[in-house]
Amino acid sequence: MDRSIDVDSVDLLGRVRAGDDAAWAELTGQYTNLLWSLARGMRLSEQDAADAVQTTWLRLVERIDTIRHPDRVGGWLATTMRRECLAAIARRERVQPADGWDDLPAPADPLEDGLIREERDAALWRALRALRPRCQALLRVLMADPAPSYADVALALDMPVGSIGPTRQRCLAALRQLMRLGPEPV
Amino acid sequence: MSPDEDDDQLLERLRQVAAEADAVPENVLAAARAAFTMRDTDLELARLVADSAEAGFEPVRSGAVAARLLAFDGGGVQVDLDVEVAGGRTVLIGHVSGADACVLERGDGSRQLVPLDELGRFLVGGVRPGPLRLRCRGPAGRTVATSWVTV
Repeated sequence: MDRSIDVDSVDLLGRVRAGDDAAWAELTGQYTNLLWSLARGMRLSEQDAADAVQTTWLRLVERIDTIRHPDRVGGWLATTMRRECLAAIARRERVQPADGWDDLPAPADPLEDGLIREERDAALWRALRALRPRCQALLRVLMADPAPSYADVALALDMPVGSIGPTRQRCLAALRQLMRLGPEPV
Repeated sequence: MSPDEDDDQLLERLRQVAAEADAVPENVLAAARAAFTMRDTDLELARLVADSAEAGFEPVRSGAVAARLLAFDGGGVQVDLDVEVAGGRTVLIGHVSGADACVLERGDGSRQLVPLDELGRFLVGGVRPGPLRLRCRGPAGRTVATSWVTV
């Protein structure tokens, strides 16, 4: 693992604890994309993803002075976000049957391709949707920008660090396979 | 080119498509930055000590109402909170002890007074979805807030 990242995160959290707004902006700039990617990979709607990301940051503010391992703030965020996503899914499951499925607007598909200009890219994005959910979630998290550390990915998806590399390889191979098969039959 | 480099390249392409098709909305980035304004080092935390949604309970249901029961404790304040959702509307029903005044605080920092009756009970209707917490005046005038809950 890259030790310089850990040192940076200890320093960054120290500055955040001292009340440094710029340090907070840097921290949110570094991780918000990962948190969003995790929520979307777990197929939360835009609204639920937005609430889960906001709650995760509010929880960090709430706990900022008592976090035990400032060197692992990324892992703390990934774990907290995963929990928020599971809670959002549970909330939907609790509420929806009571409301009746018919009354609800279908949540926007996180793999909606309407915004993509190039057909080639849209086809790639649609192929993702045909992968099994585990692959979709892993690849969506690995797409986060900046690229997340495997330690953070492991906590985000609750999988062993050692299985990320091999699973990534298998999921990308499956994606290539789907692309080779061409446009999905309708 | 090695298979690993192929994979890195495909993932990079996916990252670019994600930036186009599913970018982080600007309001999400803004809310993340704004969360820091909610920092208050004098605040004492009433932690979540029970949550029906996490305890493996069967959902509490009567008719078309789905309810989630939460309990918080800390800083000399106890809060029992019942989040009820019916027909897409959220109602908070609760009980506070150890505090004589509370406000409902939202993730964006907005607040509304929560009227407590003589027994410390309250009811707030028309609650919009998103993170919230109860912020109360506890023993000896200390400020105590529950941990955040997303409804």
